[in-house]
Amino acid sequence: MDRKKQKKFLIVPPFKCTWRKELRFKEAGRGCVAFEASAHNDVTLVFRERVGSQHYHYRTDNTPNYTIILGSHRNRRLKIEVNGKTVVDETGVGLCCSLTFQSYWISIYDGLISIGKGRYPFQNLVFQWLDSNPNCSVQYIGLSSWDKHVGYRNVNVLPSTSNHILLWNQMDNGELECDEDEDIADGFIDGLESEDVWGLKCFLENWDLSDVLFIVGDEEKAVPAHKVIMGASGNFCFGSSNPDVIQLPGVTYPVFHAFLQYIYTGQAQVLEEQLGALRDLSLQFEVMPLIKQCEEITDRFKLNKKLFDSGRKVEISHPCSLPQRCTVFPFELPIDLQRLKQWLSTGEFSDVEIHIDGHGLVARSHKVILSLWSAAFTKMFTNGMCESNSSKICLRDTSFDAFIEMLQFMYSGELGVQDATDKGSLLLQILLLADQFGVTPLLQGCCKTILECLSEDTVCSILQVISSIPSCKSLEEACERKFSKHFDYCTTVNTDFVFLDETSFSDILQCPNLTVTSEERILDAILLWGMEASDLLGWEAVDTILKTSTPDLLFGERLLSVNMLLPLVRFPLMPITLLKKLEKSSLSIQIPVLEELVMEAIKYSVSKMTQPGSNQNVRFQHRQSTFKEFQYICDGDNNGVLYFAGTSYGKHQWVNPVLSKKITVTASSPASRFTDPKALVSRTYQGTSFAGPRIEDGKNCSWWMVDIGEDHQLMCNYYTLRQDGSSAFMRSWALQGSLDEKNWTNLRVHENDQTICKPGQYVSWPVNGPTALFPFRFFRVVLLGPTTSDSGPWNLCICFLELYGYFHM
Amino acid sequence: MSNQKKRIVKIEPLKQMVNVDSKLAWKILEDAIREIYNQNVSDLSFEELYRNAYYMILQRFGDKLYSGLVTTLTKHIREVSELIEAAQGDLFLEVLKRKWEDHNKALEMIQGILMYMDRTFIPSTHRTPVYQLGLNLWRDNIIHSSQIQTRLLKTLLDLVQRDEQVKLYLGEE
Repeated sequence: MDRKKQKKFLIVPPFKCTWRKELRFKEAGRGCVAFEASAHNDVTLVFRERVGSQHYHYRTDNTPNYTIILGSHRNRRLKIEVNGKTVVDETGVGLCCSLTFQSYWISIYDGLISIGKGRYPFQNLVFQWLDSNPNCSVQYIGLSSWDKHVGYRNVNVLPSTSNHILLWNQMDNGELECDEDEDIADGFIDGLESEDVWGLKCFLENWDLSDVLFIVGDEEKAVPAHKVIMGASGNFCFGSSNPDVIQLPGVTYPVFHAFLQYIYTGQAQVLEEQLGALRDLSLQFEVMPLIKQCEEITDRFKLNKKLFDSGRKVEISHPCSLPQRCTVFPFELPIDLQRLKQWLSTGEFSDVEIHIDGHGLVARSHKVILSLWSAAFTKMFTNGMCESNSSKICLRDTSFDAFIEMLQFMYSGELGVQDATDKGSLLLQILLLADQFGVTPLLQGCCKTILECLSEDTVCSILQVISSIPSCKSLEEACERKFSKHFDYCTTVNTDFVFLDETSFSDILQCPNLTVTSEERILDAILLWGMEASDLLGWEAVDTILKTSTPDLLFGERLLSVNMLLPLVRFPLMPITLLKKLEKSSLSIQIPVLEELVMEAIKYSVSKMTQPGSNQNVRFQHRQSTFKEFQYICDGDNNGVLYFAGTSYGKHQWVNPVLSKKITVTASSPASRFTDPKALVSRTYQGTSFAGPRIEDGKNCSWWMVDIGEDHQLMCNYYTLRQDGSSAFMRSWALQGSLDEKNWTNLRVHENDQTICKPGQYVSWPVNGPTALFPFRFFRVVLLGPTTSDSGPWNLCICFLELYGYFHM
Repeated sequence: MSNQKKRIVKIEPLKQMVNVDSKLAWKILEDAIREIYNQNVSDLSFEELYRNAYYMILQRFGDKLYSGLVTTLTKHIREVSELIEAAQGDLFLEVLKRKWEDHNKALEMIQGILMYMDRTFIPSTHRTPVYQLGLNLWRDNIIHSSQIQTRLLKTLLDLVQRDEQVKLYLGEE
């Protein structure tokens, strides 16, 4: 645990340097390090051939090294030093330090130093420099500092991509969108570390599940391997006479070991003089990437004799075909993906038939592929129970579609559902399956996809499933936060939330960001949850039921939980009239906890005095994010949100909020004498005030739009319009809301609405349904069809607009 | 814009979660653990056992599963302990060793079928992992058993002594 923490967070003191054995490029001179750092200045990374001491300082180092300093000269410059000599000293490249953790990556490839920002290595390249005299022996990475502490975390070393083109292409791409949740990303990275333990490398020269033997060398050493893996990496003629044993008398074991190592792990070490033999072996079995790499290394060696001491081991590392996913099978391996996928459908080399109860034969698969992803499958195939000796397994209680997706993931390393909208419903089942068999990368993929399309409508169903899965904690928390931010919506659109378990529901209620229009709603939700209601009821309806029933009968097992949850309702924030009603209700009489809470609240609101000490109780505090209610009373009243904005939110006398810049009003046509934004909220009658049409998507489009300000949101439940002096009456129009000014949601649609029939007439409408519970920043009245005017049918002629509802600031 | 498109992916609730009778599930696992100690494993289905243990954890019967495991293991180890105590003379060490090996093999299998619990339930509730638990129970019930501890010590010391004597004798030769 400690070790992990350390790994997560490391502070390097001034003028010190941290070296670690694992912070090392697999291949000298080539590699990439991705990390997060937090500092005032001078995030410093040193690259050299061997590890240094803690007191190492690059200024005193006389062995070759690269030193890269982000935020040098009081966090203004980017500096690169080669062997202590400054070669790059640039300002304004945008590579500075920040006190909050920022993600960076640095890639070195034969002297080409690339530095980028963001969590995804090789994306978002910011700076690049090529050393004309490359130092190809740098391998160890030191995390260092200058005069201030530097914090590092999530340091990962990756193989470098040989694809420079890939790097160059990134130059044009803008900054990648960062996840809103830091901890979620951390979760992913944690996962990557643990996943390192399991993989195909566990099956290297392992007799388990092997189905082919290589007899190597004069000593006739038997080396086990797996046909599906070997076959997908090269051409082994397993179809010929004696397919299960292959004799290789002319190959020595160390060379064959390196050969297998390369196929099973993507990396191999050989002595320099064995390179030729390795190349010949690769040529014999047509392992193309290895042939190429052997030849490349031999060429490099010929060019620069100094590169390798003879007798030293050469490391060969397979370039990752998908840099972002290079820890995931099969991208780090020289495997022919197409061939592998094809074998899943043809069953070539298959050693296990998978049946699913109720579906019969699902696939002819390969034990080693299932096992390299899942320790559970490994045990299933090797621990001596009936599956170990059988070429058939039968899975029960397993979703057929989800299992197929999981299989395809296992053969391709990618989640197919990502871009197929119709498969969305499968995601949760795949997630469950991935969790059941411990396929961590698939689980992470599912979590990520689900997170990306998380919405108010889906949180409940997701929470129901994942709350019992400990490995999805961060997704669970994101769902709970989402729910608590849209508490009204999630608890009034349907009763799905009553299926949440107590922990999730209680977490939601305790969320500091819980946003709700009134405490009454929380009370309602707790009661509904307690009785596992199938219909939406308010507390008054529950109260009526209780007149002829008991809490035991109504809540059953959940009565205890209800008693635990009730104190989370902040009764003291309720209006006194409501509290008085609650006091007399059967709810109070039958549920002592509720009675006590109501009494406490009444006492508080009557005397504004509380028992000593209870002021600290959150129950008496206003919620951080609450909504202020603006209730429609009558047309043209002073109770609307736009009026409130005119009073600087209750601080001053009313002035036109457009003039005081509290809100912004725009029209579809340019402002003019008769299209005056400030007139719309001026609260005085205008004889002529209209928004003219503009062409959008080839159609006439007229609207008036209000922006209530960046930090403000409104759940609009009522609105008022006033016709100007003309008789161009609207018949088909809509009130719409938006958060981003681009995507609009209909709040209320009017089709052939005859209500407006007089010049200067006021009219108001409620906004019903679930959209009234969505908070928006932008609102607009948009014409959907021509008005009654013949001369200007697309002029939207209103001279007043007011909005009501729950306002959040 | 592509972001917007993604949002359309609708996540549908699971139609129904499989409901497993925890009593039945535990019965299956308990029987299996007995069979594992009796070394009748080839008829057991890993898939069935793993699935039952998985559903027990998923449906929050983790406590039941864990305490059941502790009880069953303890019971079994006590039986073994009696067998070892009953062993006479030279057989004592032999029986002890054989039972220890059997125990280890069995533990590995039990750890396999309860792998899901090991991965999820145990870290989140800060309990002892299955394998370690088995070793601890062996230590507490067999190595620390008053009957066995003294006898084991004595037997080993006797052996060492005999060994020394043989060496001494050979040396004199």
